[in-house]
Amino acid sequence: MEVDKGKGEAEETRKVAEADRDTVTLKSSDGKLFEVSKEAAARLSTVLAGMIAGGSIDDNGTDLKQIGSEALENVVDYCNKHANSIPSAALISSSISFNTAPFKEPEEWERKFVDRLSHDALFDLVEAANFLGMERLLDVTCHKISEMMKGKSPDQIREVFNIKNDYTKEELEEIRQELAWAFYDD
Amino acid sequence: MDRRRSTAELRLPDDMLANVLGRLPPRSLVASRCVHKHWRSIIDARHLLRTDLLPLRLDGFFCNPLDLECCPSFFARPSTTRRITGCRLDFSDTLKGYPDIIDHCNGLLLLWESVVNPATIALSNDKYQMIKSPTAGAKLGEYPLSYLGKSEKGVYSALLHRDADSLPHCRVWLLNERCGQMEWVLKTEMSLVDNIPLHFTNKYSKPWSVSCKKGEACEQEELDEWDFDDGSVFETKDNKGNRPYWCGMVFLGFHPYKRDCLLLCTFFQIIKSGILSFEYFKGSRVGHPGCMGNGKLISIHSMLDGEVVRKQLSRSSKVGMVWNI
Repeated sequence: MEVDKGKGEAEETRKVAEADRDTVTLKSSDGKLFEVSKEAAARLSTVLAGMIAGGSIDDNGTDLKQIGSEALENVVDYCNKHANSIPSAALISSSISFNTAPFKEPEEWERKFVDRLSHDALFDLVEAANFLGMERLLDVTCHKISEMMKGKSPDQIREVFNIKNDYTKEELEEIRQELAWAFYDD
Repeated sequence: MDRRRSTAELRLPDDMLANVLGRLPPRSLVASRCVHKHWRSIIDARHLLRTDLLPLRLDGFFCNPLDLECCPSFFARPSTTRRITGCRLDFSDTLKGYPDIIDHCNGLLLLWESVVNPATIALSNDKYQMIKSPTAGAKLGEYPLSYLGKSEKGVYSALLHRDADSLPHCRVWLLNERCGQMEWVLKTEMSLVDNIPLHFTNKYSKPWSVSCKKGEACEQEELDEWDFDDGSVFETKDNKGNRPYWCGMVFLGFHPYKRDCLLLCTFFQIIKSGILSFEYFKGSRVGHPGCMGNGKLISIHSMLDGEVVRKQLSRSSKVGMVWNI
């Protein structure tokens, strides 16, 4: 009995401590756990901010069934890096009013962060950012993908992303004709 | 996450693919349309490529003769002339003499009494649908000017004329094409005297920036001569009771996609000292880029990407310049 009581008290104190913790634990679709700063998570993700405010954060790992461990690791990595970098004033304002603020160019560390990712990891991260309502991360990742397309011919774009051409020669010629000016050089 | 990506296409959800594509400049978007059918459907369905703002291919053009007795000439390759059967503009018995082309928009021609499309004349048993111009048959006083243009809702026609008091007046119609009715609906009617402050205050004016065409250096001398930053208030000793000179009004166009911005006009006021001022207004907002050396400029105006752009070509230096407001 004594032992049981002590255990219960310990449980209570642990719970109180959990509530005061400054990190949240996130669980990927394949069951891996990641810790992320509560402040950064709330600031960067509208979805996590809602969960933290609404008290639906699970101490044993909040289930994020849509996000694989590799993508979640990148999300957490991004949040931690973001917390460590000194965000510029413009960046803070863009994360607040993300719908109206114009896109701000990625900062140096953000550029490096997305540059090291494989295509698949990058696409997974786009989806994760979208799912978690991380406007800035979505901006940075989508910007990176668009940079990979910019200035390239259709063939080059297909090659970069390993996309199979599903047009016939005739169809291609037809849509080229629609906007023929774009294929001439200045 | 499972490796469900096939090698056939970029497996991003549509919203996110649209997010990526929406960041591309027009030329890259056109290339992206050719990458995959699904990409094209996303670009087209979400109007990522504002084709209404992009240049169309030039198939041919009409040339109005100086001599009114002559018919406007049509210049095009033989393949185009075979396709566009109405290019001789002789399709109407009701037109007396040769029609004078007053304005054009997206292949439609504004003749004084009607709007015609030479490309579709062969449709429906050679019977050609002509739309009466909204100004047809109206008494409009001296030197009325009529225009045709396209904006978000469709084809617009504008008229500049003098009202009963000989003051400049402007009217704008929208062509209602719903249910095949083809009728003109009057959208705006305003007196230009009331809407243009004739004392050029700077209250509404925005600075214009000058940008040179790529690869061409602006001559500093030319730049110094004009005041771009500030619409100058001109000292006018004789401007005839503040009435604008009627002959100086020209129509610039309609805003290509903004609904509440039907009209853009340019307006020149020739002042005795020989300075030419350029005015632009939308509704009652006025902006003017300042003065320009007299007799030095010929101008071509156009609207690019929704902005008013005024290109100036200096005769003396052959330097092309573009102003944006």
